[in-house]
Amino acid sequence: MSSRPPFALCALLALSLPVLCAAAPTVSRLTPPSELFASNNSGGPVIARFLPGQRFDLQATVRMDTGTTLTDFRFAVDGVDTKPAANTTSVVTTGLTLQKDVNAAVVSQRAFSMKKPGVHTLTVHATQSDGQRVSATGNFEIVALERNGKPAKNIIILLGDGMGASQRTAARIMGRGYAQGKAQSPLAMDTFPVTGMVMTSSLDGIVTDSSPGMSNYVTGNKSANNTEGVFPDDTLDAFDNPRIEYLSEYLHRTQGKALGIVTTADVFDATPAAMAVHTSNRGYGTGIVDQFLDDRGLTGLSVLMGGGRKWFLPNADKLKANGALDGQPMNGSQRDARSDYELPADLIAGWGAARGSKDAGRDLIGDFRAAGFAYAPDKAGLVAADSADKLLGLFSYSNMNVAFDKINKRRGVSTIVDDYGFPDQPMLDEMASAALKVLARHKQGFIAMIEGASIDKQEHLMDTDRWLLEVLEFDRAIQVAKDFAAAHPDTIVIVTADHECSGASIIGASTKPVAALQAAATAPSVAGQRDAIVGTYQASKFPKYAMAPDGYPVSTDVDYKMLIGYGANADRYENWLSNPTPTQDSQQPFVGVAPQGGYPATPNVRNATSGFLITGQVPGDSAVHTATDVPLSAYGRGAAAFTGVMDNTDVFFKLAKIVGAR
Amino acid sequence: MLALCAAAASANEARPDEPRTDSSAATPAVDLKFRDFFTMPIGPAGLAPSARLLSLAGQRVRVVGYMARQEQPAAGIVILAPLPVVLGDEDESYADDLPAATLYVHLADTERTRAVAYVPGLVSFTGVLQLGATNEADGRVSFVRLQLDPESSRALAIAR
Repeated sequence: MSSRPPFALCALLALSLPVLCAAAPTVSRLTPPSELFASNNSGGPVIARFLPGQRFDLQATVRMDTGTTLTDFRFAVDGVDTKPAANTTSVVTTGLTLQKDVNAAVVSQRAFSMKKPGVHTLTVHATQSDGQRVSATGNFEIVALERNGKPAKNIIILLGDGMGASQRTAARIMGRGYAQGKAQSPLAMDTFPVTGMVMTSSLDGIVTDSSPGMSNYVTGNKSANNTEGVFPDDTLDAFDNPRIEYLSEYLHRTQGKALGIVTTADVFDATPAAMAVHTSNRGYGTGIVDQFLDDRGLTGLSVLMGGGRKWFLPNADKLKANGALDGQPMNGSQRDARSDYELPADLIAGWGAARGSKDAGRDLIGDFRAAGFAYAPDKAGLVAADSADKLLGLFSYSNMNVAFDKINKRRGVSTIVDDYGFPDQPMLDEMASAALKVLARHKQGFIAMIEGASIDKQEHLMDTDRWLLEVLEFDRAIQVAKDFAAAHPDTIVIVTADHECSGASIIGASTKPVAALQAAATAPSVAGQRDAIVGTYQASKFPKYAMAPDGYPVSTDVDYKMLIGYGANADRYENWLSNPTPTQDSQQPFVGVAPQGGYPATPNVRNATSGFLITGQVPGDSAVHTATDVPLSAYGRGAAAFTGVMDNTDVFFKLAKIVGAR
Repeated sequence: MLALCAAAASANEARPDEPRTDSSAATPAVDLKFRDFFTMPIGPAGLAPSARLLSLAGQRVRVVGYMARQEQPAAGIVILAPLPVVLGDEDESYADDLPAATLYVHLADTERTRAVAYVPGLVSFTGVLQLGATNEADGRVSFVRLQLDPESSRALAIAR
C-alpha cells in the first residue's frame, strides 16, 4: 500500500480539510519494489524475492513539506523494527533526480537479509521536523529452498545474447543441414536433455535490454533497463543504488565459489557487468571495470575475458606527473573520472565493498596483475596463460571481432581483424576452454558465464550471415562446456538468452542459385529480389552449406540459401548476400579511416545500391530487442528443474537450489 | 551515409582544400590524417602514437574531419572525428561513440569562453599540433590537439 496519511483522523478530515492532509509527508518510492506499494494490490505477484540470507538494501524516498527536514526514519519487517548494523544507514537529500522544488530524502538501510521463508511486509516510518509522520508498506518474499539430492559444485551459464528460437533453428539449418525435413545432426545445445521457455521482461518494460536481461538471472529480482544488480532509486549517483546480492556474491560468501566471466563483447558491456557489478548506468565503463577487480573479494572473480582494453589503460592524471610524453600518453584509454565510482560510507559498511576512487589514471591491467591475474592480450597469450589460477584476457580495444571475420582471417581470406588492430583474437570456444581450465582449479567450485555477445550486436545490424556464425561459434563453446560437465558431473550447465533481438525469422529459402542473387544485385528491385527469389513453404528447399574442417561454413553464399527476415527491424536494403565487410563500429580505434572508413556506416545505407528497401517498423538505424520468450536448455546435475515456462528470475532460485543454497 | 564516409576517406587522403572552414597563417601546414595517429597492430598496453604523429608535434598541421555533434558542447573546443558522431547519453552515456583517433581543436585564449556552432559535413582545421594526455573542459581526456590561431578562432566563434 502506498503512502499513508499520518493519522487516522487526517483521513477522516480529508474530505472537508484536504489541505491539512496534502501537507503531510509522503513516500514516493519503497524498495524492494512491490505491487503492494505501487498499486495497493495485495493480490498481485510478489515482485521482490530473495534466498534465505541473501542480502539486499532497503530504501525509501520520503517527500517532506517545504521548510521541514527529516528527523527520523526506520524500517520494519512484519511490524518489527529492523536492527541495522552500525554505519549502514543513510539519509541523502542532495544530488537527487527529483524536481528542484521537491523537498525529499532518500533513506537507506544496507545489506539487509533474513532467513525466514514466506511473504513479509516491509514498512518504512519517517518523521519530518514539524512532527508529522508517514509510513508506507510493501512486501517481499524469502523463498523456501527444499534440500533435494546431491548439490552441484559448478554452474556454467551460456548466454547467447539475443538468441531466440529462430536463431537456434537458423544455426542448425546452416551448421548441420536438413534432409527431407530432418536435421542431419543436432547442435550441441540441441543435445541438452531438458528445455524450457523463459519470460524476459524487465522491471520497467516488457522489452528488456541486456542489463536486467542478465542480472535478473543472477539476482532473482527484476531490475530496470540499463541497470545491473540494483533497484532503481532517486539519486543521480550511478553506483549508490539499492543493491541485490548476486548469485556469485552469495555463493562466494557462503560456499567460497569462484566467478568466471567470458564474453566476446567489451567486458564492460551489459551482460558481463550484470554478473558482478552494481550500477544503475550500464555505460559507466571505468567504474564497472574497476569494480570487477575491487570487489573480487565479494564475487570471487577469477577469470575475466573479452574485449575492452581501452578501459584498463591509464589515462591522463598519472601520466601528467611524469610529463606529457612519458609512458604512453596516447594509449587510447577511455578511462574517465565521470564514469568512475566512489561509494558512500553506508554501502561500504553494509556490504564490505571497496570504496572505489575516481582515478582515470589507474593502470588497471597492472592492478589485475598485482592481484595475481595472468594477463593474455591475444590468442597466443591465452594459450600461455591457461595454467594460471586467475586470468585476465583483453583481446581487443572494444568489442571483439565476430566469428565471420575471425575465421576468415585464419583461413587467409580476410584481413578485417587486422583493420581493427587485433590480428590474433581467440574464438569463443577457445576462451571457454581456457576459462574452464582455470576455474576448475578452484576447489570450492565456480560459477561461469560465457557469452556469445555479438549474436545480438549483429542482429541489431541485421547482418544475417555474421550473426549466424556467431551462433555457430557460441554452439562450439556450448560443446566445450558440455564436455566439461560430462567430465565433471557435479556441474549444471544452462544455455539461454537474455532476450530475443531483431525478431529474426526464417522466412524460407532462395529459389535461385547464388549467381542469380548476385545478378539481381546489379539491378535492385522488389520484383527481382523479393518476388523472384524468396521461396516460401515447399518452395523453400533445404540449403546445403558445406562445412570446413574448422567447423564453420566454407561460404554462407550458397545456392538456394536460407533467407532471414526481421520483425523488429529498422530500414535496411536487402540483397540476401553476405556483406564482405562489417558495419562500422564507432567504438573501434580506427573507425572512419581507411580501411574501416570504407565499411558501411549503418544498415540503412549498407547495400543501398545493390538491394531493395525494406522499411522498418522501428525508428533509428538498427533492429531492436523483442519481448518474446527465449528457450533455455539444461544439462548436468539438476537439469530437470528447467522445464516449462518460467520467469527469468526463477532461474536464479533453481540454480541456487541445485548448488545447495539454503 | 556511405557517401559521407567515402567522402571522409577521400578527403583525408587528398583534398583538404575543399571543406568549409580553414585557418589562415603564413606558415604552410602539413596534412595530417586520422589514420596516421596510431600504429598498427595495437599492443598489449594499448594504442601507441605513430612516428609521423610524434614528428609533427609543435608544427602547423591541417586535419579534415567531422565535428562531433553534442547537445551541450563545451566552450572553446571543437571535437573533430574521422566520421560523423553524435555524443549523447541514451543508455551508454559515457561509453560514447567518440573514436580513439579524435582531435580536440582549441580556440585561442581570447575566444575560449565562446561556444562553436555545429557545422555538418567535412571540416578542415589548421593549427599547431599538441600531443599528450590532457583533461579537457568537457571532462574527457584528449591525446591529440590542435591550437588555432586567434584569427581562425574569432571566425569560428563569430559563426555562432
